[in-house]
Amino acid sequence: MKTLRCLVAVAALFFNLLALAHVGSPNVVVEGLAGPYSVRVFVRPPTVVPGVAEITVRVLEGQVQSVTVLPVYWQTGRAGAPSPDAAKSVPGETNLFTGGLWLMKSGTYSIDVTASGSQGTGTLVVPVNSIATNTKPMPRAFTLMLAALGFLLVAGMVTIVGSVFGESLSEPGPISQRVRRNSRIAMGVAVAILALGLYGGRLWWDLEEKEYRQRRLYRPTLLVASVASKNEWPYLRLKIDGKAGRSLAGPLLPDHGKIMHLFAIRKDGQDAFAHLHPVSGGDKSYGSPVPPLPAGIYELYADVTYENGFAETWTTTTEFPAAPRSVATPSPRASGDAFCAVPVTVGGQVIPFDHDDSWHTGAPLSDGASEAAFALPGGLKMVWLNKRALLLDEESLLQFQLVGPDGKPASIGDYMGMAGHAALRLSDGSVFAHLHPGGTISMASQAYFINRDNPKSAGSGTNAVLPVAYTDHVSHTNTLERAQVVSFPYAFPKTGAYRIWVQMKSGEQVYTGVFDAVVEAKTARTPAS
Amino acid sequence: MNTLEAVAPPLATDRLSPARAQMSVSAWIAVLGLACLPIGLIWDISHHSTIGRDTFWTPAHILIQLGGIIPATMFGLLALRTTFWPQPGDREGAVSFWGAKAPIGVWMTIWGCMAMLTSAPFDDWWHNAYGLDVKIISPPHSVLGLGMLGVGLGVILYVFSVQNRQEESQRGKLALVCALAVGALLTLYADFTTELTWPNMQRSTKFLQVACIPFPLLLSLAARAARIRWAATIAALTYTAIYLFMILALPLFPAAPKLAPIYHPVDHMLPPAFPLALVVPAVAFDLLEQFSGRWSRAVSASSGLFRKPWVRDWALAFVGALVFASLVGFVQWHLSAFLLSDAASNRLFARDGHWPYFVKEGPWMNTFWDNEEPRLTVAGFFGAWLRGLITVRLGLVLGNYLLRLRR
Repeated sequence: MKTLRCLVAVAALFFNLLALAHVGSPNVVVEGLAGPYSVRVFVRPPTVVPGVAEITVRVLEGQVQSVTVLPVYWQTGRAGAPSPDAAKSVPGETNLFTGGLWLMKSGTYSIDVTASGSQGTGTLVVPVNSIATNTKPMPRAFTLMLAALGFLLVAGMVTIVGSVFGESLSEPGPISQRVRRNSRIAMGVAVAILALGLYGGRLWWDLEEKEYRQRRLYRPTLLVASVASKNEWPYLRLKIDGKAGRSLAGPLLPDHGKIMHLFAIRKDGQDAFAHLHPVSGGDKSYGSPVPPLPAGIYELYADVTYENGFAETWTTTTEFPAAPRSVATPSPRASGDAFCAVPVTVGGQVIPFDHDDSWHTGAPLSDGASEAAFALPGGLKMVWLNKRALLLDEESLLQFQLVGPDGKPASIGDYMGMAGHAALRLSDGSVFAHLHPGGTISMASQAYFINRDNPKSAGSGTNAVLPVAYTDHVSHTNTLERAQVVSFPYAFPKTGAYRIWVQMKSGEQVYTGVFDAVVEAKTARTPAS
Repeated sequence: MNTLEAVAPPLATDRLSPARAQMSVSAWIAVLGLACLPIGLIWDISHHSTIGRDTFWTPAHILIQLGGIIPATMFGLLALRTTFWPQPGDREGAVSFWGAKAPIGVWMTIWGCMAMLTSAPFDDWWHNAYGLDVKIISPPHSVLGLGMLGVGLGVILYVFSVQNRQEESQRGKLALVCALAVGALLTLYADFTTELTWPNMQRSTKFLQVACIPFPLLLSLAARAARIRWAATIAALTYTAIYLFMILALPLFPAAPKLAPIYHPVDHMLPPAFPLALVVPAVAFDLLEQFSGRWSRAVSASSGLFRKPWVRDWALAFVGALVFASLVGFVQWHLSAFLLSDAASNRLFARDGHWPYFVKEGPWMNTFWDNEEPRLTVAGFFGAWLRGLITVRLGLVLGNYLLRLRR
């Protein structure tokens, strides 16, 4: 069993790294190119491992005859993958395919979606985290049914034991009193033994439950944040909370050029937002200057990707102090002001922000939906083009456009390899997601799986071969850029009031548009989208 | 065998002949149904080792369910007949169960089938709550296992009661059915202990102690209660034959894993590991039982300590456990070395051909796992003998009960 145990040990080691990419938003939505075909893939990962991932593939462009899906485990790659499964065409639809794949182990899988049609064959790589998140108790009706069956079984066994020690040994004819007495005694003993057995079963079940919750159930990775003055400027330092049972056990991959994407959102009103890129402090810690935002408690969401393609979001809260008065950058002003790529100096010394860091302050979260247009500095505005009622779990394509003072679409540029970024948060903080035009996935994780079985790039991370899907993604982005519309595919996992921050770059300026939206549950009367 | 004539005189009346013939047929059907359980389980283990992906409706699962459903359905009909439309002799061989009438084995089998069916929704919920088959031994699987054992015990109770109620001339055939039934149950136990009896573990204390729990119980039970000369040997041969058949048959079917990750490519259904040489201790148990019969006749009229049957049975258990532990320890010590050698790389012995797709290939497949499972020691042997002493004695108690079983 050496190897088996080694595998278990490796799995256990890796499991310590497990967490969820995004917060409260496990579903994966990816839009990209499978060769010549544009497709949108929606994956609903299982809530337990092993479990079945439900996959929906919608063909957006091109004539596709068949779609296959293939599970690829991070450790074994495509050499350790079975033959692909054919996704079924949905009756009545010409461009919709569905399938299910078993995710057998905890860790990272890629689901290779291959589309075939008149223009040939192409594959889109979709990384998916495989983790256990289920904590639902047994439904009451089911509990009652099992209890009833259990009672029948116990009563039946007691009766059988009574017969075994009584009637079954009797010759034909009336049953003697002695036999009846023996039978009753045996039944009494059986009741005691069965009660002990049931109690033992209860203890066993409790142990299984405890083992599941302690070792296999996903627990969020928590950070410890501290702010200290460094060169007269508040400096944020982040470290994994060891007390929470986690430690950084593996190196991280850069995702679109950054080892970490940190989102800071002011807790009260969500009226201040920053998108920062802390750097490694060399002692398994990460640090960044604190942006000049209003003082207050901030929720921090740090998106990272491990070298095995596993993407997760580390979280914590901390207090940001007010920016020093001597800061040589404009202080926050009216709603819509944004500051980015503007050197911040104190006493002539440049504060070492990352050149892609950006932040924003504005109005607090509103109760209802905001306007579709959001005013920006310089007379620009950001417009939510397809703003409408949002429904729970519905595939949505959130489309935005940057409009210049002249009312025409403004030219948008490359912002960390893509046309735009978005972050969204549910008002109670139970959902947070960082979106790209390609979807909810980590591009670094996708690159890992594309390079995973490429001998030219083996062991060289994302710096070796530019992944095909990444190329596809950029070209896809370029297509959008030409249309000057930036789209984010997503499916909202909970109902409630959301705030969405959308970031685009025009010239050297990053613009952050802020939109509030309410997601409602689907009802029978809700028209199909 | 030694006391059967004294405690279970046959019901020799002509009016019971048709009922006896039906009982004989139903005993055969029940045993064939019971055999579906261990065969289905071996098939299912092969399915999980080869293909991985499964549903409730895989052929192996259906065969397992048939193992419960065939005897339970037949016995259910028998219970209806005995309760509402009894034929001559039916009521004489029945016990009451909540107002209904049928032999005790019928109720035990139906109980086992009910437990198997109960485990299905429980297991389904468990998979949704904690993941599919995270552990082979889980609470819902234990309910399923208890159900299987219930079916097995029920069939055993039924066929032995039929044996006891047959005319003397027919008892030999029924005793053969009894021995086959014990063989099926022996195979089921062997399936359950698969992960504790790999050839790589057969020089360890753990292996011998595990082997000394179920097998001596069933072998001593068969030798004591089945009215045939080599009952334990037939039971062990049944177990061996089922395993050899599956070893030779399963690899004939091409198959490939359908789940990732695949650490170990396979292209055919994987066979089980080579069975234990239980035939050797089984022959010894039969010889001991034959000696016991002669011994009891010799001392029953004496005034010594051994005139009491329970004292003789304890003495028999003492020796039987020692013989079992010694023979199994010795035979498997050498057989396992052969099974892990190059000479065993063929279709019959399968060497390392039974390892599933989800383990990495390596030298560990063909070596003893001494680091994980320490080698057999004197203390370990003593522990195995102690377990064997208890289980052989229990087997004799159950065997004596089966000899007295009338309904």
